[in-house]
This record gives sequence, C-alpha cells and structure tokens, in this order.
Amino acid sequence: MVEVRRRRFLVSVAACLTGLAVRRANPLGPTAKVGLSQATKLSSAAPVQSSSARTKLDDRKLDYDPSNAGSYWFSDFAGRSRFAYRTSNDFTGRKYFPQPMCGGVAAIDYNNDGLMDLFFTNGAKLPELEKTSPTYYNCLLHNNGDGTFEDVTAKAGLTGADLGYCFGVAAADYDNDGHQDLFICNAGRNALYHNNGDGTFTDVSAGSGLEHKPENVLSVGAAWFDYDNDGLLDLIVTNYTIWTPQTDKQCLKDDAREEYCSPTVYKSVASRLYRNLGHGRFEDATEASAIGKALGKGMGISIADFTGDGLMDVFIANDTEPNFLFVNQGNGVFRECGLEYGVAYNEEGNPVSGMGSDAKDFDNDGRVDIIYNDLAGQFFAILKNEGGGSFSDVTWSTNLGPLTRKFSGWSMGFIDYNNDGWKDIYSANGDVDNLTESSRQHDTMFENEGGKTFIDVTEKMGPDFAFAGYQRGSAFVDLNNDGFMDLVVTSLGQKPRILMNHALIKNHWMMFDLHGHKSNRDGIGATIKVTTQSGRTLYNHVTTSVGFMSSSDRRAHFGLGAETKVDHVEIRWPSGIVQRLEHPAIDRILNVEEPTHRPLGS
Amino acid sequence: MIWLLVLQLALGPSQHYENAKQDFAQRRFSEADSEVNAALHESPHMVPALVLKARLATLAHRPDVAKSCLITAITVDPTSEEAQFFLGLSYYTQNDFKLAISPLQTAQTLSPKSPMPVFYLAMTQEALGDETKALELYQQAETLSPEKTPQSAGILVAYGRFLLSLGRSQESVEKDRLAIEADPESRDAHYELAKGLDHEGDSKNAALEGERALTLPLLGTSDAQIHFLLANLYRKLNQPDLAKAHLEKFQAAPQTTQR
Repeated sequence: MVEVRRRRFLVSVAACLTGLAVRRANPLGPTAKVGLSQATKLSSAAPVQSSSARTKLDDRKLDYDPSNAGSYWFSDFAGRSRFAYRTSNDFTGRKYFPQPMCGGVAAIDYNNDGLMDLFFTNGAKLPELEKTSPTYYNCLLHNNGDGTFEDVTAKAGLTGADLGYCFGVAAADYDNDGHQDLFICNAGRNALYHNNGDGTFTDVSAGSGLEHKPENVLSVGAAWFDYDNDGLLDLIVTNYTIWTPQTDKQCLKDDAREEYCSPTVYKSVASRLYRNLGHGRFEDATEASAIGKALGKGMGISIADFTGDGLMDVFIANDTEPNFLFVNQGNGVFRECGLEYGVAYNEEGNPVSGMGSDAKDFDNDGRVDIIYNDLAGQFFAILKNEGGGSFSDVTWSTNLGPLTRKFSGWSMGFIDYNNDGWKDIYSANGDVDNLTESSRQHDTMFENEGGKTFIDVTEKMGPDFAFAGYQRGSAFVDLNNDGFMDLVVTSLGQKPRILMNHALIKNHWMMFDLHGHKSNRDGIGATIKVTTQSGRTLYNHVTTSVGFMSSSDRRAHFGLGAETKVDHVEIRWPSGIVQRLEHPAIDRILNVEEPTHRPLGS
Repeated sequence: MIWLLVLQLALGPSQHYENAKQDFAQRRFSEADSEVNAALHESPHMVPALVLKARLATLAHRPDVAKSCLITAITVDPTSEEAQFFLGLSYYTQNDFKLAISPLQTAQTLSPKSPMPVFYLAMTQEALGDETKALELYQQAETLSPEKTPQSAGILVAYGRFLLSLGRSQESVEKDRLAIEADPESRDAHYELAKGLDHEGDSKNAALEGERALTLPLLGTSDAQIHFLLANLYRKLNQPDLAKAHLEKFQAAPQTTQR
C-alpha cells in the first residue's frame, strides 16, 4: 500500500513539474488537474498572475485516481480513514422528540493549509442530554490531502464533551483573524469556538453574548452573515421549539407503537439574531431587528440578497409553520415578507414540513432563487425570484414536484456537480421515523436542464451516493481542489459518507477564495458575476449556510461547461466595493483580495 | 325502566341493528351507538352490527375499537366484503398502507364490480409510491364507476390529483372536467381543475374555476386553499388588487397544517 502511494505521489510530482506541458498533452485529464490546482492571487490592482504562480497547494497530491471511478460520479472515501465518529442520537427505542435531528456537518479549513477539513456534530445520551461517552463526541477530521482524513478532535479541543446534544454547526471567521471559527447549536447552551490558529480551538462562549438564549429552547441551525455591512459577521440562529426530556411527549400510533410526535404538539419560538460588536462580543438583536416577532419552528437558513439592494436577507424554512423571508431594511430592522413574496406556503396555501434550504440563482438570470425540501407527499419546492418582491412557485413547471413526491428531505442545496454552469439540486433523504419499509431513503440528485427543468440523475451518481438510510446533514466542499464539488453526508447511526466527485465530464470551472478587508474576511455576502468569452453570465455568492444543520465550503464555485475563456468577473463586496477582474485564468482556485479603495467608475 | 329493558329484549338483535342503521343514516350517532351495542350485546358475532360499530368508532376517533370489531367480523365471516373493505379503509386512514392492501384486495375479489375497494387500493399504492400500480387501479376505479354521481366525481378528482402530482397536467385537467360533469357542484373538482389549468399556464380560466369553487358548498377544499390559489393566479394575471384581496382573505381564513 505504501509503495502504491509512493508511486502515485511520484507521478503526481512529475505532473506538477511539467505543469502546462502536461496540460497540453492531456488538456483536462486528471493528472493535469492535480498539477494545475494552484491558487492565483488577484486584486483589482494586480489583475491575474500567471499560471506559474505557485502556492502551497502545488505540492498537495491526492492518492486518488479519478480514472478508476468507472461510470459513477461519486465514491465514498470515508472507509479509507480510521475515525470513530458515527452519528449517534441514542436511538434505543424510546422516541425522544429531538432524536431525528442529529449530524451537522461543516467544511472548514481549520489550519489554513488550503485543503478543506470536516467537522461533525453529534448527539447525546437521552434523557440525560449528556455526552456520557466518546460515542457522542463531535469530530474534527483533518484532510491529509491524499484521500484520507485524520481524527484530530481531541487535539483541537472540539469533542464538545460538555455540550450535550448538538445539532447544527456554522463555520466562519467571526473575528477576521484569518482563521475560521465554529458555532455549534445545541439543546443546551450554544457554543462559540475560537480558532487559535495553531490547530486548536477555545470555547469562548462565556461572555461572548452568544451563550444566552431562552431557557430550554432547541437551537438547530445557524448562519453567519453581515446584516449591517460593518465588516463583522453577525449570527442568526434558528430555534425549533421549547423542549426538555421532562416535557417530552410520548406519541403512540394506534395506542401501541411509539412514533415521533408531530412538531405541532410543541410551541413555536423565534429565531435569534446576534450582532457582532467586535472583540469577541455579541449583542442579542432579536427584538431590535424584529426577527423576534416571527414565531416558527426554524430549520434551514439561507442567506442572500434577494432584493438586489446590497443588503443580506434571510430565508428560514419552518417545520409545519409558514416559511420566513426576512427582508433587510438597512436600518437594523428586518421585515418578514414570506407571504407577501410568495415563499411562505406550498401551492395549496398550506405550511409544510420545511427542512433544509438553499438560495442560489438556478436559472442564471441574476436573481437569487430559493429551494427547500420537506416530507414525502409534500413535494420539495423551488421558488423563482421574479424581482420586485415576488417569487413564483415553479415546483411543477420545472418538474421538481413529481421527482420529489416520494422523498423526505433534510439537508439539501444547489450544487453544479458536473460543472456545466447550471446548478443542480442535491437532497439528503430519509424519513423522520422508522415505521415503514420506505423509511430508509437514498439521496437524490436532480440535474438542471438549462435553468428550466430538472431530471433525476441519482442512478448515475453511483451506489455509494444511493445508500439508503436516514440521511440528515450535508456539506458541499471541494476536498481535493480539483474544481468538482464533493459531498459529505451524515446518516443516523452511521459513519458519514465522504463522497468524492470523479469529474466524469471534463468541464471547466473556477473557484473564488475571497478575502475581505473592509468587508468581513470570509467575504460572506459578496456576489460574483462571471461573464464568459461567449457572453454567458453566471452568478453565485459567498455563503456557508447551505441545507440543514450544516455549513459548506465558503469558496464560491462556478462550472463553466465547455467554455475555455472568461471575459471578466465582477465581484460586489458587502462593503459596496465593486471589483472587476479581466480575463482571469480558469480551472483553478483564485485567491481574491478585496481592494482597499473603491475602483474608479465603480 | 324495566319496561324499557323488556322492550329491548323483545325487539331482538336484528331490530336493534335496523334501528342503528337508520339512526346512522340520519347522523344520530349517539342513538346509533346505543342500538348497535344492544344488538351486539345479544348477538356478539353479528357481522353487519360489528361493521356498523366499527364505522361509529371511526367517527369517534377510536381506530383501535374499529379495527377490533372488523377483525372479529372477518373472523366470523371472511366473505364479508363490507368488513374487509372497512378494515382496509381503517388501515389506510391510519397510514398503515401495507396492512391495508390485503383486506382491500379481498374486498375487491368479493365484490369485483364495486369501485370503492379498487379506489382505495389505488390511493394506497399511491401512498406507497408504486406509481404504475396506482395508475392502473385508478383507471379501473374510473371504469367501474361510469355513472354521474358525487362518488364517481370523487374518484375522478383523486385520479386527476394523482396525475397532476406526476406532472401529467393535461390528463389531470381531463379527469377534473369529467368530475365536474359527474358532479357540477363538486368544490374539489373545480379547485383541482383550477390547479391543473394553472399548471398548464392558463391562469385566466384557472381563476374562473377558482372563483366558481369558492361559491360551492364547503366539503374538502377549504376557503383558505382557494383564496391562496386565486391570489397567486391574479398575481400572474397582473391584477394586484384582486391578488391582495384574496391574500387578505387567505390570512383571515382558518388554515391547516400538513404532516
């Protein structure tokens, strides 16, 4: 095994040394991709550095040969690594209300080595709500760069042994020190972990202001965003209900079999907004922002500028309650416009069991659309942003409705898995309960056909992708920096799947690693418009909040299809600065620094 | 009181059952329950009485009692089409779809010309995700119900809704139109037709059907559902005032929650 790895390593080094020559010989072959995955530093002052500008990524070679992939898109690489983590919700028969929710995932480059690492949250012993054994510990996996991962949880100080039952996780650099931090949502107190920059984290919740929340509220999801564009990332947390093991209700089917209670038997609660004051302190802005007026059972959070006014808005999928669209008024206040904008209910005017959500521009018209999933028989929804404060429910005209009638979805999101420039839809599926033969479900991939309709391509994704289980969290992340998005998925009671994308179609791509200066360092909220040489326009924005309980790769990804040249790129930073990059190189990760001044003419 | 007891004994179980049937038909459920209990007291294995007792228990939200009665009835007489059908129906309404299949199939075999067992089998297969079987069964149910009655309209509406969920909106619209022919006063049929026309891109006629549905007696489809649909249709038709008015009525109307 060692010898095989060594041989592959040498081949990779040779490929890297030959650089562009290799690329010419094999324009987009797997070896060329390894050699060409260098990041290129960009700014408005220094447009594009040559492709020979090497970075630390150059000598990172993965022990991973896509040519062995066969005809499937994804293979599970988790089995190549030794780690103990299993998504553990203490399922022992007694059905406690929060148990169906477990297994948040975050993609985070915690050690800034250019490779995205993975963090997972975990459950706890019930009814104690304590991590009574390592079975329930959270988990940080270091990406070794060779297709394997090393469990560094204890070393990093992230077991979360004192946190109890954990749900969602959100990764971002909240203090702009260049290191991504972690916020973890819990049944008990929520936790903020500061990344010390040396491979360790410190729980800095106490005194941060984030440790406060109403008593016994279950916090399930969180998203970092800068709602006041002051360069400091604020935080919104979705809360599900008020619950304790002592107040847990027992629901029986036919007075015999226990089943998970419907959320309708529990109270609705408000999400919470925390404003970043700097220096590691946050103030609770829930009431001042009017977020607190809207009571729901919050699940997935999607952050985007839905109105095009340069301010970040918030969509929240609610379980059995109308969804929320909090439109940022620019004065620290949000207006809940879900009903008015047409995103609150399904086609029949009913609230559904909204779970995961994502907000991206699926039809490349320059406006950010919304998707969310729900339970079987309810149909996942896709809402097209028409502009002017109006969304159309295009669930049926895009064919998403018929494709999703059988599935109960949890995490989900837009992912251009084949780099054709059209964002496809992934959903992590599995029933809430385990009472029927169709409770275990496989994930789904729906391919976007020209921004108009979707077709089911799950079968092409491969058997590892189609694993039937109780899938919950998921993150989209390019783990090997090959420009094709990989997938990480948790399933109740299982080891997570680390699904590497085999890049079966050699489409071109770009990825933007933005670094804000006036804006928040992660560039969260920056919008990017790519115009190819043929005139095709593609849109994306920087966010880590995708799906449910999870946090995806913060780098903004673009598939370019067969396009070999990009004419220009326009980046609108949260600060208001507009940056234009002329003729940037493609098939690489572009490190882009925010200019310190507003360029002339912007 | 003694005279009442004497009278009851004198009536006999059959008469009690007949009384119960009449009370049930006239929606006097409490009286029906007393009569059927009297019948079963004297004749615990009287199959029609057990079935009626099960139907009353279902109305009283006691599916456990209903199932117990029906299982007893089937044990006594496995050829009771009625008992088999209502047991299947009971499982179906409790989302026990797998369990629903066997009694519904038996009911279908016992009464091959009755559309109802086939109809519920279709809905059961739909719930189980077997689209091919569901389609075949819906078609059979439609064929077995050629008359123009509210029952056949109900079958057609469900069939049309299923077709719509498969993305076959044109065929769905056809079924909804047939349902309206069968029962012009069916609010469900007009509402489903409005949805189907909306999917077909015909917002104008969809709005007309929606408005018509609002005028019909409230049975299945709620006012809130119709107002919501109309709000969206008028938005598409660029009639913001009407859209706003329906949205306000939607907000004011009682709403339901799915799960």
